[in-house]
Amino acid sequence: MAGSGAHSIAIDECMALAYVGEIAKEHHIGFIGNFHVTAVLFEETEDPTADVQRCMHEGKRFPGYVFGLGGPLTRHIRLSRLEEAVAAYHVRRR
Amino acid sequence: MAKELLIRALRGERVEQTPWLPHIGTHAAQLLDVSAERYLQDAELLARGAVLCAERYRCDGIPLLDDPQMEAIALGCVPHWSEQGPASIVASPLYALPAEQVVAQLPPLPDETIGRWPTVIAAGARAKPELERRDIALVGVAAGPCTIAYQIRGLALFTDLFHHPESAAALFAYAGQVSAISARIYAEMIGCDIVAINDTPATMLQPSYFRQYVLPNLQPTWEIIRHADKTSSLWA
Repeated sequence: MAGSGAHSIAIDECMALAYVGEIAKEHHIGFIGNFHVTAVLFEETEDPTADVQRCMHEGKRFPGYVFGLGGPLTRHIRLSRLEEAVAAYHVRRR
Repeated sequence: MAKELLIRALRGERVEQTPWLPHIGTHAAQLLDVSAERYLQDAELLARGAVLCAERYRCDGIPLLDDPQMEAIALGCVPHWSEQGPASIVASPLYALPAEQVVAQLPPLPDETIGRWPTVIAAGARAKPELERRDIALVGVAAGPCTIAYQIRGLALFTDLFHHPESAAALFAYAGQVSAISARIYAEMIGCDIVAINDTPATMLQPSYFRQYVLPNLQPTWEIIRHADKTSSLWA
């Protein structure tokens, strides 16, 4: 994927972000990912902000990192959980 | 600044702040309190949904339409619409055909007048100036070669790879052309800043098949995006 010729890649939530970051860096491309949509937006037990922290901690170590979801939102979610996650991202954006 | 930041990051640069681009799916339908079926087929709702999501979540870029079935439905696949998510494909035009007949029965290549393209183009015309004013990138998401080949041939695609590789190769080449047409519409006609190719089923292929069937058929798409001076992304 990284060598396909695209400027960037987006990966799902099964991939280790730091591993993808290494590959993206090697290929001089950007990479998007991979907030755990299934675990944190549909279930009520996990703290959605913890996974934002994981993404930002692992992703920001590499050039070309773009925060994104690890999958599309294709059914109704608890809006407050996404809002919490996005707020946590904005705090860590810098 | 936000748009430029996102584009620079997507091109592999280390940037001052981490940009954010959501794989938004049909989430806007929930925010707009309409069914996904209605949202995905209505230019005004698509445009309003893109702007609403971008503003609410303060994104640096937002997809105009995030529906991996769009191209397949335009090529004759039968959708089963859903209340919350994108349609499922319930019948594929090439599914029941013997592999030897697939090439002769490929649907005509689409253009911007086919299927939901007029709706998507109208949605882009509404959303683009609104997003530009807010400095947010507009993202076109097109189906990739494996997605399109899988949707129009169904599961038979995977047996073709073993038993009828020539037929499979022709189908992937056709699907790559469809993908490139979508990229051209997003990049040149709608003026999307970023064009993403969503090809999730390609991750089901072993690496050698990916290299043989998918990789060469992505190249015309990347060429179109580069030529239009836009930024490309591969989503899988």
